[in-house]
Amino acid sequence: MSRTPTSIEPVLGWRIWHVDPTPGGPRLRSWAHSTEWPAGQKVEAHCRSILGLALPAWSHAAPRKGHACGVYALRDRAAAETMLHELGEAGPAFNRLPAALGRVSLWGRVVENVAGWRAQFAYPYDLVLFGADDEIAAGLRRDYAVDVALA
Amino acid sequence: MSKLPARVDGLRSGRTCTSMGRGLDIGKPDTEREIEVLPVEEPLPAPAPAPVEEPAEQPIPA
Repeated sequence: MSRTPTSIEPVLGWRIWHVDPTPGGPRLRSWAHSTEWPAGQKVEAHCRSILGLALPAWSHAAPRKGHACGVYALRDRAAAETMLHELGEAGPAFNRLPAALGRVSLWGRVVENVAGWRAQFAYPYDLVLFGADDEIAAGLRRDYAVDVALA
Repeated sequence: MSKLPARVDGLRSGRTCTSMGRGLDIGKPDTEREIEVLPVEEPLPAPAPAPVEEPAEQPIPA
């Protein structure tokens, strides 16, 4: 009988976010889906499959082995930095948002792979900001209650 | 919300779950393993303490 390994320590991985300077205070947004990461609350992964939305029997809790859903994080900072530079240079400069690179706590059901994880729950652990200013850093520090530094 | 560069905005690229196959590359499916992470306490910030209200002054009986 195989049992799922269990840990009581949250996994720490690396991610990048957009920083959306909303009037109510800066908010982190997922790079891939633009999902807002609410301040002070965990993010929970959901399957966005069209099939799953249309057919409840097909839907599943995220993440699931062999699928692509879940909150992603990378094992190495260098890989996240590379991604930040590659994606940051993909868009035109005039409509770029500030970006954040940092560690993220992952817990719940977690699918581990060689270069990172997909998790059920996540919350930022610390952030380094690119293209942001002191006001944005202070807002993120206040609202998300995490360490924030300017690059 | 401000406009995002088209190539990095998933809302416009319409990414979905299992069939997308375009998530962040963290490895091949055959190297995945599932773990259960159950922290004693969720790694979330403590809620801000409620503001302390000054007790209303009671009228002193004459």
